Amino acid sequence: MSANRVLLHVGTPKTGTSYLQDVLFRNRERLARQGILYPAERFDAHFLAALDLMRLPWGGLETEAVGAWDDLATRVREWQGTAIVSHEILANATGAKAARALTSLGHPETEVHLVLSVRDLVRQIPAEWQENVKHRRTLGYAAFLERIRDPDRASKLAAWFWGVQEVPDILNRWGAMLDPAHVHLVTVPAPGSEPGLLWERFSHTFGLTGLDLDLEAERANPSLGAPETELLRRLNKRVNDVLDPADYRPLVRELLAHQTLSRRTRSPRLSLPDDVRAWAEELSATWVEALRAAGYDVVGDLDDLLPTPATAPFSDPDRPRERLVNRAALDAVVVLLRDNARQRAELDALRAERDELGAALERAYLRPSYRAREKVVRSAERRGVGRRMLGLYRRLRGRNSRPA
Amino acid sequence: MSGTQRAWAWVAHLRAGGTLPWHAFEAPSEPLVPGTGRLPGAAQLEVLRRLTLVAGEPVDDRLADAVLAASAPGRGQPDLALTGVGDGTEFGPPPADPLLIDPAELLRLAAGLLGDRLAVARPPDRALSPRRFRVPWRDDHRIVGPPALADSVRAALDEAGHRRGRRTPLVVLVADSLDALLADIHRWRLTQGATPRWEWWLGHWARRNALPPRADLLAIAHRWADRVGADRVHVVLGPTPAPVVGELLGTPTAHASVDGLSPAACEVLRSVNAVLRIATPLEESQRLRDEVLLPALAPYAGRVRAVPRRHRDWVTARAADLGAGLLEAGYAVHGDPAVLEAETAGAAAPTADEVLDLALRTLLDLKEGAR
Repeated sequence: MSANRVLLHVGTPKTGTSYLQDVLFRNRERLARQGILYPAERFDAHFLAALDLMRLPWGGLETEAVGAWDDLATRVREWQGTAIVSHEILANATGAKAARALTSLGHPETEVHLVLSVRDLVRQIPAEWQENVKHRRTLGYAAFLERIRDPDRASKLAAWFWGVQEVPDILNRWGAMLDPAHVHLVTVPAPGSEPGLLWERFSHTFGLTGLDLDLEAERANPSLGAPETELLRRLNKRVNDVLDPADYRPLVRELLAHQTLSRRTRSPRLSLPDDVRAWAEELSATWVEALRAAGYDVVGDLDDLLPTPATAPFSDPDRPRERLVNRAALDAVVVLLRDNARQRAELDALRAERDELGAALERAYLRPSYRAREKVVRSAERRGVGRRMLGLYRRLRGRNSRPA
Repeated sequence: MSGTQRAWAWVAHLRAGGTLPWHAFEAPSEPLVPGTGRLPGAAQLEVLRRLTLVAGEPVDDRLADAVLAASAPGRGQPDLALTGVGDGTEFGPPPADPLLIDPAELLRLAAGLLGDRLAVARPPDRALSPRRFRVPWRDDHRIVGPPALADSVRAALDEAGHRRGRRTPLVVLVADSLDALLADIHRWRLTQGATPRWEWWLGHWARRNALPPRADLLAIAHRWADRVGADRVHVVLGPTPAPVVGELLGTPTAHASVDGLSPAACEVLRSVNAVLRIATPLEESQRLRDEVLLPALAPYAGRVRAVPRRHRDWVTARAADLGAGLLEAGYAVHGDPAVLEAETAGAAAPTADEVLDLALRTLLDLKEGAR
């Protein structure tokens, strides 16, 4: 076995993964100097690699992912030291894809450690619905809950949800080839815990403790309240047909959801209705029991997966207080107007620049020799023979010299 | 005999060319050598069984290995365990009876296998035809319009021995009814790697109340008029435009049939496109499509899809606008503009089983040719 080590972080979503990946990406050069490879030339490099591994379409982004997994795996295999790979959608890989991934990373010659960060279901379920809404879905909350509770998991939505959230099953798929001691479960602390505790756990697991790193977050995946999520869902119904994915991501997901609506922190938070909460608590208990028996390395406490008692009454996002939705909508309009004003100013500046360049060009065109040539060309373009001769000339010249 | 032993016996049965469904399979009484590794999933086993049914003979070992080891690309059901086996875990998706798995899920798996085969395929060497030097004064016509119809007219002109040049260049816009034209464009887009379903694609344009650029005959005519002059733009309407175009160009030309992929073949193509988008770089995937996949699907020709009833009124209204617009703009229109509003007898959506069977047939065909 080689002295190299790979730390492969495969999920789960909504467990602080965006922050971790942001820190790793921004510090990748510092990390490399200290023997730790985070192989990425762009922030979403590992996301693209995961799309490639799982052959997953993602609103057109998949075309940028061709060969991304093999490229990543090659860099990991060639590295002398520790390498980190992290993306939460890897949680959904089938057993066959997981086996392929591990082999391509050098297993069993290289010591591969699997890392799974996990959070209790009572927080994960509403967070997943919110993620769905932030990815253009229009399904209401009650319908979402009904689909994920379908024992057959017949819908694509349920298949995806359990694929990335059913912790024991993820570990069955990913951990089947690994020593349980090389499988690390990082639990997200219960609500109200000391801030920074999750980072301490990540830091410990990934061997980052004591390293000089810039921990200022630039990217995060902040949460929305219940009325804000419902506003976004209603907005999706209106914009899905008129906004392309390339516009939806920066305008709706980033500008509205992440940069605007997530700042409304005083609105009711998403949670579970009592019956679903009871079901989730029961399910969590079976998970914790199975995970304890499996003998994985736990960073934190498996009891973190047992939901804490509700601290606020359930606020149904399907029947929100319309006043709160309206206020969130007004905030959104204000931000869009300000953004529009900013873009108008930028446009005015660009127009002024263009006019300046145009004037400079005009001065250049005023030379008598240019005007004479222009006259000849215009005259030729008016006649069939002249047009053909010009066409032939342009072909022979080898580039398009037609006027714009 | 345990469920696992029976399952391994069924795997051996399928590998040997058996086609008994899982629920009807009875394991032989003699002791079995259990397989190693993980049991293949229910969908994988069902695809192997159906491949054998389509082939009418045992599937070769390499293909069988690939099927049993595959995971379906994209979103959908994960790998499902066989029902009645018991894998010792209470977690994960419920096990499935292979016969009851949605054929759309089996198609996803088959499309992934087709994509894998194509990604390693070596297209036949292209016979290099001498490049024709096209001199500008020989460009006497340009046929524009829906891809399959325009191609058929070009082919008919070539067939009729049309000699280019020696006359004023013309742009001839050919079109049939708008519903056939839209379906033709959608089908052509699939050959270029697109993945939207016909219903979604049509609904997308209907919701915007706009025609896709290639179907907007008026805009196309205007564009050409700007370049060559309106008097040189002719519009030939009808299902058989070739003879009229031939007459315009001075070459008697017979009607040519408009060939295109059947709806089932289009669905196979669409499913494989989704895989090729991520399996191979864009240019490479187009080459594989053009030189391997489309020739393999070419024998499965058929009518274009019908416009769903809910979009009929929208298509008719847009067709009426187009006809009126072409006349109003003063273009030379040959044929009755009302033909644009006619309802084409398009084909219904293929069933999932039809599409799956064709995908499996294509997989068997590619198996030989792609190596």
